[in-house]
Amino acid sequence: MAEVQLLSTWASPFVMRAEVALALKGVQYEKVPQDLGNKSELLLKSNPVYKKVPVLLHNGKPVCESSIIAQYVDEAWPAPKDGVDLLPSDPYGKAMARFWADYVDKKVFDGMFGLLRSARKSEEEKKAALENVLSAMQTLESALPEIGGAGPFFGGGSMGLVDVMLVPLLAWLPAIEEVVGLQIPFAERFPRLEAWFAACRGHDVASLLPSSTKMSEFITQFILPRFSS
Amino acid sequence: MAGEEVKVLSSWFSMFGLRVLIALKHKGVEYAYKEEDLQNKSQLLLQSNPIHQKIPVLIHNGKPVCESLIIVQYIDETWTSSEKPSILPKDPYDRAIARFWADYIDKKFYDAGSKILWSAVTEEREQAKKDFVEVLETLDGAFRSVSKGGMYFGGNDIGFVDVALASFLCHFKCYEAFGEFKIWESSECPCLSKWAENVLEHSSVKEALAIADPEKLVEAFQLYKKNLDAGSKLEP
Repeated sequence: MAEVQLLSTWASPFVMRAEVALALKGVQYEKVPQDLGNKSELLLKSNPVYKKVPVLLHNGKPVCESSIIAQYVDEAWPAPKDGVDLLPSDPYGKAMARFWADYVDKKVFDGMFGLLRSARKSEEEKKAALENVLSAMQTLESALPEIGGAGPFFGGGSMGLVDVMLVPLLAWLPAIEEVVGLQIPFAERFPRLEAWFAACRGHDVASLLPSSTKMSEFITQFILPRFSS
Repeated sequence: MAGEEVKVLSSWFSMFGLRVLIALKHKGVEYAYKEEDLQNKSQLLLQSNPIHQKIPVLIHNGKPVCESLIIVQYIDETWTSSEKPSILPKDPYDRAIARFWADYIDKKFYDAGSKILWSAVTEEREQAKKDFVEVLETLDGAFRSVSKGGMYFGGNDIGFVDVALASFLCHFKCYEAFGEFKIWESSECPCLSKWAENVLEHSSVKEALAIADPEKLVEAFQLYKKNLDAGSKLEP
């Protein structure tokens, strides 16, 4: 058994966060793909409360919830030779990073999935969902210079916890925009976020994420049919 | 520490605010408490938490920290010394487990409790009571595994999960009054009910929770609900 295993699925944005965190810390791990339609004994035993991926197994001991996994990986492999620390060292910097990580998890992701759910709804409902996303993006746009300084990342020159939480948007957001038929005007309205996306695309971790084409196909085939018109 | 200024913006009926007070008391940190009128939020609150405009907010030497569990971790990481107890454990794995259960409490417990109090739909309230009991029973199991034989989730002293959960105990009388049920009698939680007795006697918890008298909470919430039902313009 590998020292570090990740129970995963290729499409889950939460799994993507865990993978990016592990890569940033330079931690070797074994991916153990899961069939969520037929959950394995291992998954059910490792995450009895939520029965979801990702689950990190470190020497067989499970850690669940993507934000908690990211912080665990950061603390279990401190100051790595082949990696970075995901949180600053001072308590206030940590609190700010955790605050924005929580904001991304709640407001940004809620907004993004709300936009997706509006795909089969009226134009009015789509617009309302888009407004929600735009409002969250506006808030993030202002936060970036506050905690990331010159950036390009929220973590500054290197990716940190907030970037880990947000980076699945690289795969998911363009796919959602395509499926819903609406675009977020990053270049015009959110230039710092536009630069953030570009920096993420140029980063090594981008190769860990599925293409947005693959995401669109997945969303169209498996997710949209669950929403009634 | 000389020159330290610690202020807490909170509300006596918020279990999230009480978590901050427990943590500060436990670390022996002096602070100034400001009771916020949530129907008429102060400029200081709106400036300190512009994103969510909610309490609690901790202001340390003028710098605000928001979100109760983030504040508790900040308190733990700022006031450290060999004489002060740790709120989170030292070991990264134990820390991950503590964070998991605190997050579980935030996700599952608060929602079920709120629905018991405020839902106007009987079926929803009855389901909320079932969910509440299920969550308690899950936490009972969690207690057995994380307490390692100690009196608290943190072992021999209160820790992160104790701080996250203890403040909900003041609201138990409210849940029972509005839900018309007896919590401990409706659930199989022998360890958790013992924990509740013990944690309420812990000096840091007792001192912090002194401002949130359970009977007064029931009265306040009953009045609030009466106004809600009467179609008053008060915002929640």
